[in-house]
Amino acid sequence: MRPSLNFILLFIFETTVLFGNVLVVTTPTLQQLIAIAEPFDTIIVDGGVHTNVPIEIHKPLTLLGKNGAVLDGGGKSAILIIHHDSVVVSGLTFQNAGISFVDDNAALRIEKANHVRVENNRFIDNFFAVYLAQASQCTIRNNQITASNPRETNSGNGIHLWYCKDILVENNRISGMRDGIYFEFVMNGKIRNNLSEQNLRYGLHFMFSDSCEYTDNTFRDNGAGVAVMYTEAVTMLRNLFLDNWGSASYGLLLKEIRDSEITHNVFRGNSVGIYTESSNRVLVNQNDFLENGWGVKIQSSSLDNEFTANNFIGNSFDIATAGRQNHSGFDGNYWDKYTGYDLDRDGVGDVAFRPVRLFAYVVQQNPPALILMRSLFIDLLDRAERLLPVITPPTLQDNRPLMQRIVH
Amino acid sequence: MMWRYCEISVVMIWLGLSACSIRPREIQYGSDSCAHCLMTITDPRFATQLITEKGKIHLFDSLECLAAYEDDSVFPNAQRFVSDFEHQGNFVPLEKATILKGGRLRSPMGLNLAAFSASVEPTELAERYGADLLTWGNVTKMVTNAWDKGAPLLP
Repeated sequence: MRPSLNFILLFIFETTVLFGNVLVVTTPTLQQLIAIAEPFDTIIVDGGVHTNVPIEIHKPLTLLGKNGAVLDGGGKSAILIIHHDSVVVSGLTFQNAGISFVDDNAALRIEKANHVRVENNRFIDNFFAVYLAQASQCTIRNNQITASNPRETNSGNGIHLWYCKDILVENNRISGMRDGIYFEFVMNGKIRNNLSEQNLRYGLHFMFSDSCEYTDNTFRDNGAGVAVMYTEAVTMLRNLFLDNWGSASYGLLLKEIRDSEITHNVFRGNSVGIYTESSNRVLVNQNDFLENGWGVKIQSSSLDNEFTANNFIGNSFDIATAGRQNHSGFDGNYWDKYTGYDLDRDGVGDVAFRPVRLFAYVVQQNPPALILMRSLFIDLLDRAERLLPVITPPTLQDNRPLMQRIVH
Repeated sequence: MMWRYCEISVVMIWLGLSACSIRPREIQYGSDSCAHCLMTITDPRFATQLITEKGKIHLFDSLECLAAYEDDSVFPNAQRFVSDFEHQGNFVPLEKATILKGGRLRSPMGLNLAAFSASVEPTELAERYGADLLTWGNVTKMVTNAWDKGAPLLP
C-alpha cells in the first residue's frame, strides 16, 4: 500500500457529550478507520482516491465525503458494502466497480440492512451503482449515476432493488446504465422526481413487485423505454415518457399488470406510447399521447382496462390491436382524428369514434406495408372500415368522443 | 439447357441449405426481445432458444421464459438450446445441460435458474455456486406453479 497523503478526519460525537472529540487520524485505509470507529460516529473522508476496496461496514456510521473524495474499485471489485442498519453515505464519488459474470458487483451495496441513507453521491462507470438486497426503509436521494459502457451485456443497473420493502428513490439522475432503476420483488417502493435517460435498456423496470408508485419522473431516450412487468397495484403519476424510439421500443411496456393506475402522464415521441399485454383492470386516465408512432397498442389478452379523458394528438396510429376481441373501455377521450359533429353543443361528439384504423391492423400483420401509409387507397380502406367494421374490433370505440382537447 | 442447369443448381443449393442441421442462431443482445416476456434480451448468460419442427426460432431471455412459453403452447419435436452460464454466447442442447437454481445465481426472471454445459461435473458446479441441481421437469413444474398464480409471491 502506497502511503496516503490524505488526512482522514474522524469526528466522534458521543451521544451524551455536546461537543464531541475531533480526531485527526492518518490511517492507511478507510477500512481500518471504520474498524476503530464507535457506533454512530461520523467519518469525514477528506479528498483523495481510496483504492483499498471493498470496504465493509458492520456498525451504524455516517460516512461523509469532502473535497472530491473518491472510492475507486479499480475495475475489479465491489466498492462499499453496508451490512448494518442506520448507515448514512453522503458526498462521495464512487467509480470503477468491476464487471463480474457471477457476482453483481456494485459501487454501493446495502445487504440486509434497514434505515440506510445514500445521498448526494456521484457514481461513475460502475458495473452496478447502488444495489439493495433484502433491505427496507432506505432512502436513495440526490445521486448522480453515469456510465459510458456502450454494451448491455457488460453493464449493470443504476439503482437495483432485490427483495426490498419501503424504499424511497428520489431526485436521482441516471444515464448510461443497463436499466436506470430496477425493482425486483419490491413492496411499497416510491420513485419520485428522477431523471433516467439514455440507458441501454429500460429507464425504469419493475418485476414481480407490489404496491409501488412512481411520480414526477422523466424517462427520455432509453433503449426500450419503461417496463412494468408481473406487478400489482402500481401507481404511475405525472411522469414524462419521451423519445423512446426504435423497433422494440416503448414509452411504457405493460406485461401482466393488475389493478394499476396511469394518470397525468405525457407520452411524446415514442415508437409506441403504451404497449399492453395480459394486463387487467388498469385505469389510464388524463394522459397526453402526443406525436407517437402508435399511441396505444393493446393485445386482446388485456381485460377490463379503462382509457378515459386522455388526449390523442398527432399520433400516426392512435390505437392498434391484433385481434377482433376487445375487453377494454375507450369512452370520453379527445382524438384529433375525430371528424364527427356536435349538434347539441354539449362538448361530446354525436357519433362514436373508432380509433383503430384498418391500416394499423394491416401493419401489425405485415410491417413492411407501412410504406403505403399516406396513399389514397389506404385512406379509402380506412374510411370504409370505420363505417362498417369488418376486421377491426367492433366494440373498440369511443361512444363519447370529446370535441375539445382536455386541459389537464 | 443452360436454364435447366440453373434451375437444378438452385434447387440443389436450396436443398443443401435446408438440410443443414438445426442450429441456434446468434442473438443480438440489446435488440432482440424475449418471445414470452417481451423484455429486451441483454444477458448472454441466461438466453435460451426453442427451434420448432419447421425451423422457426423463438428466443427467450431465460430458462423460466422458455418453460413458461412451452406451458402456454405445445411444440412437438422442438429442439431447445440453453446458454452455458460460464461461457458467454455458447448454446448447448437442453438435454445435455446441467441446470442449477439459487445460491449465488440471479436470473432475469426471478427463479434464479442457470444452465451449464455438461463438461463439468454437476455436483462440482452445484458446490461452486451454492446452488441446487434441477431437472428440466422440475423447472417446468416450478414455472407453472409460480406463474399460474401470477407473479411469484413476495417473501
